[in-house]
Amino acid sequence: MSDLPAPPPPPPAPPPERFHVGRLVLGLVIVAIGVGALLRALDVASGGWKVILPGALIAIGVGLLAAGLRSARGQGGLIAVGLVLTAILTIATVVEVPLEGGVGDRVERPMTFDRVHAEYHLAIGQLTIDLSRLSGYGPVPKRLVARVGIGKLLVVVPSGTLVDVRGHAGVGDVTIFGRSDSGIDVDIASESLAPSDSSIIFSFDLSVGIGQVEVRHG
Amino acid sequence: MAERGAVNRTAVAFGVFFVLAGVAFLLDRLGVWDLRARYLLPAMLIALGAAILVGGGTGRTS
Repeated sequence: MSDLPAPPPPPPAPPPERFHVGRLVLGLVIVAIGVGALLRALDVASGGWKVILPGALIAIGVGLLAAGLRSARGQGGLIAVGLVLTAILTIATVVEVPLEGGVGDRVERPMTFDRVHAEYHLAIGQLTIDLSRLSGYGPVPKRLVARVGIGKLLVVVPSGTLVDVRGHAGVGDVTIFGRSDSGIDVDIASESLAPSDSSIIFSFDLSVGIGQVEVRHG
Repeated sequence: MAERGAVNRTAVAFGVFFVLAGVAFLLDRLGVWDLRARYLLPAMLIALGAAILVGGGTGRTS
């Protein structure tokens, strides 16, 4: 028999490394968003950007399903990222802020029919299109599209002329020749009052993401 | 410590919600359909509330 003490028990085996589905998906989503932003900044690809965020949300959903069915571990981080992404996509869908047009207050006051542009854009601010001083009209109605992301869009038309107007506000109010509506996803289509033998001079397609659309006579 | 093999109902419910919402946003971006705010916002609230209800509301696992 030996008097030596018994050898110490071997250290417990380290726990097996676990495969973290949530972290994998989160990493992939962040990389995808970063690549999309980089490509957009480099003007390499802008068309694919619009599918990256919805695609990322789908990937997060699939990752949550996979992780949730495999293990009962919490996935709070992935759920939070998904909720933030959902909020961003919802706001972007409702507001539809245009990327062009700049920021600030702008007044467009064309003096002739030919100088009226087909499109006007403003990201944030007030855009006033004053057509009240126009001299002469074209033989066919002119279609005019104006978009403001956040702010006010005001169109002043000459008295006694017939115009066809469609006004839209994602969130806000629309007032066309005194007829007004407000709330979420507001639409008003109207024609101005004019002599019965008048023909349509302009066809307006006006919208703001958040704010106000107003059309009135000058 | 959570048991392996158990199901995290909260994660599954939010996973289904995010997949459906992502597909809806994707189809809107691709011009397949037009998501209107007057329908989108209530639908999102209903789906989100349903996900919380299905998940059990507490985040605990089944």
